[in-house]
Amino acid sequence: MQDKEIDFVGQVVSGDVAGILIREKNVGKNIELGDLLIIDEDENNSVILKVFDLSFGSQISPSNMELAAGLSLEGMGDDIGFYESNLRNYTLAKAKAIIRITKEGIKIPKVLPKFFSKIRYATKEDLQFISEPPEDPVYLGNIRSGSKVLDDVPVQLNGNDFFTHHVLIPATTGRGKSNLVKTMLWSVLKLGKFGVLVLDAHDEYYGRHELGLKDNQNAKEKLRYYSSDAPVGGNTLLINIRTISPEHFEGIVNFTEAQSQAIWLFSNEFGEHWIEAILQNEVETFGTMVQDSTLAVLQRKLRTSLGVYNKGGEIICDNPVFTLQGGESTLDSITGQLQDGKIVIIDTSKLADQTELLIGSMIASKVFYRYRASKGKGQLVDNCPISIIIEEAPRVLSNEQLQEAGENIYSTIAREGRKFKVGLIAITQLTSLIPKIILSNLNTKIILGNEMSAERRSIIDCAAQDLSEEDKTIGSLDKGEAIVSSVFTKFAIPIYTPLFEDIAGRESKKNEDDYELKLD
Amino acid sequence: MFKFAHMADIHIGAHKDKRLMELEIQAFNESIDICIKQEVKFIIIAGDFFDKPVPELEQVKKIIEKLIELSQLNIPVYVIYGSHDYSPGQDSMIDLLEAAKLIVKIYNPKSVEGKIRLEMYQDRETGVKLAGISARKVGLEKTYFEKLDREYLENQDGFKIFVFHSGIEEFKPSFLKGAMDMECIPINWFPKDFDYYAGGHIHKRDKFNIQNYQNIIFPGPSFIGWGTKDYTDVAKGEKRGFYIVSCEDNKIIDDGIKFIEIKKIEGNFIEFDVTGKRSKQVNDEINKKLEDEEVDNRLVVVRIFGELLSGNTSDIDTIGIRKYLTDKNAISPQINRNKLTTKELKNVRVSDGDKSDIEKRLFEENIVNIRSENKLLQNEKGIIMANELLKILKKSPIEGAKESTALKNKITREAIETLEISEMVEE
Repeated sequence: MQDKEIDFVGQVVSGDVAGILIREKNVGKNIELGDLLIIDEDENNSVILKVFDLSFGSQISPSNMELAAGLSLEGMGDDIGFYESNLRNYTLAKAKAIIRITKEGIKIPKVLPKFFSKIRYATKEDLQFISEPPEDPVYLGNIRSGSKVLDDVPVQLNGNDFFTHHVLIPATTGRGKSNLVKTMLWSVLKLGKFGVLVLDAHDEYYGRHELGLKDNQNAKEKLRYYSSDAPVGGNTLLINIRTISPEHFEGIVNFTEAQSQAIWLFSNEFGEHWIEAILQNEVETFGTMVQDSTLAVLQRKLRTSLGVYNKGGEIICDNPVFTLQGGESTLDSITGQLQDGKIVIIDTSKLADQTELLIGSMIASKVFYRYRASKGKGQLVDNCPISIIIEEAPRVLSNEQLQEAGENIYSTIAREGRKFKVGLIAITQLTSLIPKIILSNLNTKIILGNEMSAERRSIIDCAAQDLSEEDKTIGSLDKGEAIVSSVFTKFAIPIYTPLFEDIAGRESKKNEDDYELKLD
Repeated sequence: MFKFAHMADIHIGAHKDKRLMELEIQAFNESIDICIKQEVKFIIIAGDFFDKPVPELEQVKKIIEKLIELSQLNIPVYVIYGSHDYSPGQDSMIDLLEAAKLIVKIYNPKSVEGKIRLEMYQDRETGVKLAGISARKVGLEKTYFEKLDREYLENQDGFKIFVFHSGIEEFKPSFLKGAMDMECIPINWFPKDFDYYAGGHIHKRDKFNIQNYQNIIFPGPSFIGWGTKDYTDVAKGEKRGFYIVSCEDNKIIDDGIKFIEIKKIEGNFIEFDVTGKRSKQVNDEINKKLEDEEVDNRLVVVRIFGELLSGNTSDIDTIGIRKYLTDKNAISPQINRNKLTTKELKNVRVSDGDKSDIEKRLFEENIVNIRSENKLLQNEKGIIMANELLKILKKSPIEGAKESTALKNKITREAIETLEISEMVEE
């Protein structure tokens, strides 16, 4: 390549494997944190570098600089300047070689790039290998170099790998987490091959009053929405308490050993009527095995978690979701819809925290055990992969919760779900609360901006690639910017997720009503 | 004060057994006699009055006699089509009865600004307003619900009844939880705040109340219904009948929704677990058990289930069991073997050969264990058909194809052709 054809931004001046030092070209160039740069070694080999630190460099000694600044500040040399300033003062960028592109393919760099190589910005042609869509692509955003977005280079991961190998989305408030998830689900709706359960604590995905997933062309076929006050087009969320099993409470509601044993006694004796039996004090069968005090605490815990209690012999369901009238097939319907490759949104915004977790636990258990049974029968191959999105994941996956309340279905899925095509998408502000063993099982991390250094450290420690130098970059990520670190990508890919409203506004259904009414 | 009756899923013409045919007419007549005696002002039949669009005329004739009696007493019968008595593109018995002014079809849709507007029918004597959506084959009425002009219906005043013949998603009973293909309607697709929702289609008596939707009632079949589950329910003693609703001042009075049981038949449900037994000993044991059972003039369902230790499931002499029960005067005895398996089915020999040889051999070895009312499916033709089906089901999507719908449709079409059931599959 001829120098004159290429717009160079800098040149390698020193460094080592951990960080290659680049002098920035002064005129019109501003290398940014996170920029992707290219060294063309020859026609067939190039190296992609990613900038992780910036500093000043100067040929003038620090004491002379300090003197010059003093003269200027004290009014003793207003017109003081540097002779050939562009040559003497400059910016130094520290970058790491992340990928070597050769004729044979993409490789992890094992040698330093050629010394004194000139450097240019990465272009869409350089990153072509990323934009090639994998099978069943799940779109996460477009590749980003610093704050520059390469609109033509979409970052997409193979849906099957992505969903079944679990995902962690560490994000603090206001960094574009909802936008990312909505955008991702929009592309999943187009595929119609993956079941995704969304426990939507803020009722922000369906788009009840604004653009949302409901506006996708495939929504009618592939989206289901459940809410305690569903609008037309959604389903009213009703779960019959007779479809609740004791294991649904595991790790969600804290029971003592005596309480757990009592629950199982009731369940074995009364089957699906076990909750009603507890509320109606039907303890005669058990003699002294169940103490009055245990029964009273169980009744209180059932009232707190499900809103059910006994009033003058009648079972009252205070919670809008749990009922004795209807809702007999809800859990099976939802599981079936997920199995059929639909996205199921459960609006939990009007429910208590524990109710949300219980509902999630019920569905997740049903999905997991159904898929596990399918594998036993050799039928798993016919099932769509299913993923469960859980917000504020430490509520069920934190060390403290797992120690206090024991294992729950989410931790089971994190450990074993992959074998049965069931995955988790854990969203959290506090990665540090999740045990390392679980974090190591979440094989894709979509890292959004985070101002808490301790949290950044936890994220970096569990990333699929070495992000030890990315601390500052993560701290500086703006809204919509993220880094995708996955065992399914060759390097940690910087992305920018476009505004969901832009995508949905562009692609949402037009001429909605093309149905010709034929009445008879 | 006035009363009305709500029936559904009567399924006149569902039975071939002479005694059942007679009993179904008796059940209908008794229901109408009760309505007359209780002075109901009108009767609602929420779909599936008949089991087929055009049932046996012998049965229809008897029904007409009773409908004429109602007509002479000025008790109107308001009807919608059910999934059984609706036939796309051709007249059904419902249309003939309406033309004869013996019933009133209350499904009056109009297309207004892209929506389906249901004109309400007002009962002359009580002023009650009724609107209904008829059923379609394979639940196609879902589209109609989706396009329904709910606001128009909600803005109507007075005492309002909504009549429908569909499952409701939120109230889908547990016995249908595996029926993923059964289309149900989400409750919020119904117009809100009607006084009464008269349902049909779900063969289980139930009442539901939920915010904005009070008195959603499914009476279940008023006689037996049809199919194994209905026979089993009746054999187990589940009540059949209909509802009479009492109203005053344009409101349903407290405890005004009463179920009226119509008991025309006794049942006996007999279960036999074969687990761990050899097929040869099972026949003797079943015969012995049946000797102790009360079967005379009863609807009898025998359920044989479990896993045989040895032998084929076809070794169980169901013909003999049915004959024994028939000789003992049981009514239309049914034998349910759905959960009957044998260990031998699982331990099939797999010989050398290519994949298609092995598959063919597996079919040959196991086809005798597959229960089918069609004997043709148990011989060579059955094996060929199974092989053909397997080939169709193995088809992979075309590489690069975005949607699997085309493949699904292709597989469905070819499977229907292979099974030679094109005529049975409508729309």
